[in-house]
Amino acid sequence: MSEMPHPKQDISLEITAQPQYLSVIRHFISCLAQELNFSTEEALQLEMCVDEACANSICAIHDKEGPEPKTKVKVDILIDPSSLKITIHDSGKDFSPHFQKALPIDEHTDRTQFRGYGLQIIKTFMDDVQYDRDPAAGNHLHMIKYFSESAE
Amino acid sequence: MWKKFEISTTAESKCDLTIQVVRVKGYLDSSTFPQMQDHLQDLLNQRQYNIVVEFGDLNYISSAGLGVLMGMLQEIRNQEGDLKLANMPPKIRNLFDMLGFSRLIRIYDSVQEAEDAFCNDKQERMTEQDKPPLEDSY
Repeated sequence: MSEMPHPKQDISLEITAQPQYLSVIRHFISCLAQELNFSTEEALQLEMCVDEACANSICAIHDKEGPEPKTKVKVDILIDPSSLKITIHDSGKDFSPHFQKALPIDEHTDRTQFRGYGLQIIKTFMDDVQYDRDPAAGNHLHMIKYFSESAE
Repeated sequence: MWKKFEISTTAESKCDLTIQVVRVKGYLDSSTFPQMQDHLQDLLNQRQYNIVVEFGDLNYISSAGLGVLMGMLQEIRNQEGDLKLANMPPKIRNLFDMLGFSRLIRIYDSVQEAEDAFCNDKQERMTEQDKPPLEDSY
């Protein structure tokens, strides 16, 4: 008997824009990925991508508001029958130049740098990644991971 | 309150080399990577360039942690040393493989194997030095 497809549903989380809260988001995403039958490898990829995206948002907020910001990082999750859609929102500094510049990691990637792997990792592991910026509301990073047949 | 990352180092002697074995535990991410960076920088400031990082109790590494390792690797190799990784949990090893970092940094199953590799590196350097210079071919 085939299992029922994943129903469409929403989850929203907010964290204070401080890096020590990233572990809370990581644990949540890891548990969610397991609940949705993603493979161990995919679960780690999702955990890492959300961690990297939230870390970028925290940096963007700190760049705009300083080390004790008031605004938070918001994570919206939509589970539909074919995919897991995750959007990270922040009201920090525009990071569109960094987003455009980042390429998925491949054999030509310079791996001798201290920084700059975060968006590259996101573009490598997620099936679709889009960025948009609303001058009033800030940065929105949209990431999609499709369910493989075994996860459905 | 947030006890997420621990790091400690022991100095070990092998084949007339001093090898610094750095043990990390917990989560190496955006909030904890400065600890790792400062710790490794202290070793470099003491001119310690033979370093093994033991990953056995590491639960997670983010791009910030990868950046610390990869950024310091070249500086260490420029000093004829190396930074080798050992005892990596499978999920973290998998990540290094998927992202291609395991092609640049040497990874061993145990600290012992990493230490042995330092001895082999030293032996190879000595053999290289003992070779007679190449004669001019013209």
